[in-house]
Amino acid sequence: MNYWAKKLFSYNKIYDQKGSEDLFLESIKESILHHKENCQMYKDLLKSENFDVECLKSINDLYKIPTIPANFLKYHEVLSVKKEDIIVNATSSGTFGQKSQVFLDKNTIKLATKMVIKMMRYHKMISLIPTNYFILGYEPIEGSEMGNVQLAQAMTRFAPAKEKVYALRPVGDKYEIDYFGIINGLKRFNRQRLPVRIMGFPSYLYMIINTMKDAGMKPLKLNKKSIVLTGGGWKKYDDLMIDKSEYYQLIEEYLGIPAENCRDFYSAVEHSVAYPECKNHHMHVPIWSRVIIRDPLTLEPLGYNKPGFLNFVSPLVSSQPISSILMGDLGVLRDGKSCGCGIETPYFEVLGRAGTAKVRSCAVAANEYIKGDQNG
Amino acid sequence: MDSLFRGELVTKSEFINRLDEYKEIIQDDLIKEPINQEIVIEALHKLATEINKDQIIEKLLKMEMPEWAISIYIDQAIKSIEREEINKKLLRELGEKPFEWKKVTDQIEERKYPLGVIMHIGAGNALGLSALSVMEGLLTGNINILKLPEHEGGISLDILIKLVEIEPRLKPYIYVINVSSKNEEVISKLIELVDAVLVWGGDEAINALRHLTPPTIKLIEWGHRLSFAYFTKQESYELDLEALANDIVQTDQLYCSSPQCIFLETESKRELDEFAYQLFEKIKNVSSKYPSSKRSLDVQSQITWTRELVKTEEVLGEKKLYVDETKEYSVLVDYIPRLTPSPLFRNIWVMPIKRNEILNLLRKEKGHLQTVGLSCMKEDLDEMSNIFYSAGVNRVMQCGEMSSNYSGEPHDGEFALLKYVRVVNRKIAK
Repeated sequence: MNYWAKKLFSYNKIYDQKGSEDLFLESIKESILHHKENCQMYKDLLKSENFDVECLKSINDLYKIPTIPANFLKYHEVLSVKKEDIIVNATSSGTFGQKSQVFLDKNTIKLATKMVIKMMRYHKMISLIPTNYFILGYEPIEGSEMGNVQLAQAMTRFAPAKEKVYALRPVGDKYEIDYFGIINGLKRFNRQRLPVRIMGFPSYLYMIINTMKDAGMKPLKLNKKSIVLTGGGWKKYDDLMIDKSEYYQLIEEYLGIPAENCRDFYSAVEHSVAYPECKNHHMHVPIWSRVIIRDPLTLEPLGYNKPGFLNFVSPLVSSQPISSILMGDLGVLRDGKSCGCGIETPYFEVLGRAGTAKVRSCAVAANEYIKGDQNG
Repeated sequence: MDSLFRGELVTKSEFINRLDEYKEIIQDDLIKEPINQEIVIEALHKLATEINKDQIIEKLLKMEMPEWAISIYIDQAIKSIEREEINKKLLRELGEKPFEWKKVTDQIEERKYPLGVIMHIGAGNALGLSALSVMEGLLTGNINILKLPEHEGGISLDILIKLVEIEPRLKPYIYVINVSSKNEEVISKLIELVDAVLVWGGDEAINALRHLTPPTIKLIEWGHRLSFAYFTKQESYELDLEALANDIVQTDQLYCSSPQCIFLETESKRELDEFAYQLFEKIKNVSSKYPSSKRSLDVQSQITWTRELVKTEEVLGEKKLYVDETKEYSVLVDYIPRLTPSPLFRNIWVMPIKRNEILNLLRKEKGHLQTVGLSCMKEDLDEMSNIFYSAGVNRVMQCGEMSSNYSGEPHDGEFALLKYVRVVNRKIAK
């Protein structure tokens, strides 16, 4: 059922979109047909939009595929495989409480694993040197279904782990930031001189560095081969967010990790393709997906340099009908040729979430509706 | 210069530098007899006649408000500070001669007295609202410190500058500071010296102020509210739907009294769809007369995001979307009733309801409720309004008049001015 997708995910040059274009087109058609056949809701959606895969003559036609908005998955469990074939159930950390659910089957996991390994190899992040891990996220507890936790665990396999320190530790039935453990861990890692990998939410790293600053701690000089891999956005700490270059400079200054070793990546459980930054801090689109920016009013495709909805098209996931998913994030697409990092595919920037408009109104607005989940 | 210190224009940093001095100055002013109401009324009336309308219109246009909405908005605001309207308001809310001693018994007398110093935390949602809030503080004899809202384009400051120009005797009662809400240090320092904090804003702003305000200082909250319309089963909905379309379009649903959902008493999907379509047609008619303002990227994306979800759920038969070709307005049908905020700007939810479910449904949002636009037979008015008041709703209005108000109308169930004064008493020796 994923003949073409297997071929696409075996293709070796992960940013050679031109060379793999035919493979991508065949894979996405295959993906759509698979979902259509195995998911009634998707079949109905295609029908209501009068969509036929035969209209996909070239890569320029991808915008015609009906999209599913990511928040649809928050309220509906839609599957294109049998329930017993689901082996991973990932939930997102939900900025506003309601959690997104994604179900992955064996085929998807296999392709995703190939994808991540290729990506880590390309970005030179596979290493044999023992490494200390510093995870800016949740310490795993049994039965944890959060996508972040699972991802963080998987990401510690690309360099042998000597020790793992977690920023968020379970205290009773909730998690708390363990500042004391963090600072001690960092100091210990600093003394050991082994490469360190810092992974997790960017906002936490920023707050930790600020704590170091406030406490008058001397800047650390971590091993130059250390890597910072952040993802997941600033979440509820959006108002703390600082400029990217300022952020990387701060890391370099206080932890001694060169800016080009700091890579943020965009990932969403509803989409599953990861987009790490190149050394110039741009998120280029790899061969496994295409990014379409859509007009905020009409949803027509916009091309480069105009802000709109992020829409991802990818044949990666076979368990849910998300061949083309409309994200709640606004973004802008840029021509990648000017980046200079060696990758020439387009890259995108995330501008923020749709649905957080500060409206000039005294009416209760959807986004400021505080229920019990302010800490979402 | 973007701040006022005791009525004088200063910069923000000058204001902050004078914070230590501020305590003594305020105490000196507090001990003086509160300002005479007549002086305030006269100054406001003069402001209403002298204010440069064109200048304000120009500012509002820059903030992308549509021209037709601006003139309605300004005319209402100006009328509300004319002598006659203010007198009505004062009489309704505070009673006759509130600041004179009145005998309660032989030896005991009572009078109203200002709270003292009120800190107003302005909100940028209704332009110029912060200035009106300060005016209410002046009418009740208080010293007012206004923290300007962000994104208001300086309108409130301009109005207050004009006011002290007209009547310099008001100067000691007006302070304005243009400081960010994130500057908790300065805000806390200001709060320490006031008798009450008055906050306009959403749940988030109110929550923040609850944390910043010590328990010994009164907190007056004017929060954001949610309003809706309710239709009992009737022969025809024609007239009320037309009126409601006016409520939706003319306010862009931006007031706390604007409808966000409409409930119809029915159990039939078909009936609900017809009702929704009828409303959609009415909105179309009204929209052609009142073109909408330009919508920012984030506002538009929020609207589209909601519509896309509804459109996808329509495939499952759970919801239904009616949207016009230019995507200016929409009716969002949900076959399961829930009190959901709409993305505003001419996008409205329509849902079916059974009468015996309303109370339970509304109680979930009890602290947010404000106005219901009610469409029912006259004989049902008592029963229906009783349900709504029990749920926490304060205003039961007719469709088409959800956002109309009158001088001296209670605000969210209370007389605002009455909250800005206290009643003091004394016993006189025989």
